Amino acid sequence: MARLSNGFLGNASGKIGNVVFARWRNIFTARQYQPDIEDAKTPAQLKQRSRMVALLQFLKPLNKSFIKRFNASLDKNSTPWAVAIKANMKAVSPDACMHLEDLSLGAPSVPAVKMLSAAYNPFINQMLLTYTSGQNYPIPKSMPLVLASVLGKYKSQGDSHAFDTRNLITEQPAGSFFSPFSDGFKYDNYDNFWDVGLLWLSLFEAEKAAAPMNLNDSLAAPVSFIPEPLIEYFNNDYTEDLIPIEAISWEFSDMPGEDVLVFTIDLEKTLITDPEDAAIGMVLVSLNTEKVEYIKPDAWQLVDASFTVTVGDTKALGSFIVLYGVVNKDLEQISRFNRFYVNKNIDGLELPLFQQLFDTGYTHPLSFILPGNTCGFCGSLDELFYDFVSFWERLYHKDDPPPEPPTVYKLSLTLVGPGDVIVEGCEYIDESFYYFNDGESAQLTIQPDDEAHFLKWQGPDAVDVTLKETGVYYLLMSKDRDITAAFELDVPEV
Amino acid sequence: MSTQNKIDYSLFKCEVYNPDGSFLKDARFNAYHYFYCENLVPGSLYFLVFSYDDILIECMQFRCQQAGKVAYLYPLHVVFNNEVSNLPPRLLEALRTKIEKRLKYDVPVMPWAKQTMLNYFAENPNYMCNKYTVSKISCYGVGGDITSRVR
Repeated sequence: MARLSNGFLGNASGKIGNVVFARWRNIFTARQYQPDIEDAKTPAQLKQRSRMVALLQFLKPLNKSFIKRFNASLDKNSTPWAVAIKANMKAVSPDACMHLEDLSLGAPSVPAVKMLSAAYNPFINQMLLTYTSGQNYPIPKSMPLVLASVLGKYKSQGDSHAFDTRNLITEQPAGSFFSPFSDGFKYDNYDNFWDVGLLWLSLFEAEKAAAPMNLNDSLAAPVSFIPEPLIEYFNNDYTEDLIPIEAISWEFSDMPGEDVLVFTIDLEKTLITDPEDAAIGMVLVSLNTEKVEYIKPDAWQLVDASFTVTVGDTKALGSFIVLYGVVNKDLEQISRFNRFYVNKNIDGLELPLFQQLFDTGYTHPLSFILPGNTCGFCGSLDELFYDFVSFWERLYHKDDPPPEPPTVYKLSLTLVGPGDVIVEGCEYIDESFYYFNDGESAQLTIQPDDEAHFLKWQGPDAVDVTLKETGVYYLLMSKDRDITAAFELDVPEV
Repeated sequence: MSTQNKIDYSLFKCEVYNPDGSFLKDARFNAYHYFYCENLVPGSLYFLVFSYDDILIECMQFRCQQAGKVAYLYPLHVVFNNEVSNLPPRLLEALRTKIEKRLKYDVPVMPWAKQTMLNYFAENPNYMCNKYTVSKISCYGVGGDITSRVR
């Protein structure tokens, strides 16, 4: 294809002979005319076409998000979509299959990190990735800015592909990725549970903070992962909801020596027709002050209208997240997993979920999606104030008394007449006073105005002021000092 | 050889103030030395004051534009926000005791604060603020969406 910079036939459009003129993105082009192909169904052509169809189906859901973000800066003469097509055709197998692990986006220049774990937590609908960079990896050792992009892919339904593109680029702690989840605790929401995923990292340094950042400047090669649910048998394969959470209620009961959570079921609110052929498998996680504990799974035969879980005499002071599924008497799963939050403790005290998750350290608070029109902040004291902690721990030792602040003396300086004094060596200035550490010297440089001269030092401490060189004096700050610098106008010569 | 004494994390505080100097609330802390605060209004300005045993450590100026977001404040988040300003006078007055204690102990400026100042001064050479005094405390902008600056 030829490009016409000025259009030798003007802004030509159409066909002359076997040459076709066209305009593409404000570029005038000419190419050879390709007549319709009579038989485009040779086995090789069909195969190639099915590969292209498979690639388009795979990439289309990513076009406006990941493809645009990663490929936008790669080729100024092409579109992000065209770059993606070109880069990924080789990833499509001869039988027209494409796997997420083979997806190529952007231009990574840093080696991939090593994935340590990819754990899905169904209690809070969170994917937690942990990775290590290994030696000689260019993650800045102090103050790293790590931007993570995570593309999750749900289980394929036939030829269609569904992706989770919400984590296009997020700030994350070095070494981890926490997918966000909301406080509403919608019981049927497991949208962070992916079949497979890809993680990209971008690393930036403090010195480049002022300039706009290019994602591809320090992009690491992607690393794929397959999530492992925290609960071994957890799945989201079932959509049918035979026992909705509205059918289950709970209350605490204190028995001698131990507290229990009592669950009851209203079968009329369920789709269970034969209670003898159904049981609820239930797992609890206890969030209590600074501790998280899992309570072992147990089965609730639905011929019993209530079910008791012993929680001991301390866990009941906290809250619980309950996860349950439904099985038949052959222990085959027959309904979806649901979960709910026991938001009050045995004393009736309400314990908001996010505060409980934070207090117990169950997950990183940056992953919280707060309700309504609210926002918040979080962080680590050790990360932000490491230098303060070191400073303080150096300041005094175990057997020493608590540190005393250094003794500071105040210099009061008054100016009389046309001139100024520059004071150096002070620790800090407060209004018109200068403060010095004990034993330091104040350096006083006199600066008379034009046609004026310095007369003398006055005040109670004037006698201690010593001359260093012309116009420069010293005053030892061994106590609070009060001095006055006197200036006067020169006497005009007669 | 004497053993170094550990810092007492229970003496850390993170207080949230309104721009008029009125105290709003304390952030929560957990056993892993994390802090967390919720129920703030997107787009509104808040001042975060970090202190230890009533000694001022650093101040931040927090403004988050995204509803639902919990902004993660860590060293490079502050640096990449690239904002330095002075505390409003009324808040300065409210923190006077904390500031004087900071000056007495000669608490060092955190490295990320220095880096933020360096970057900010490079862009704003007329901005005059380089030393802690009772009448001048720098605070660093946080909460902005850094990812919006990524092309």
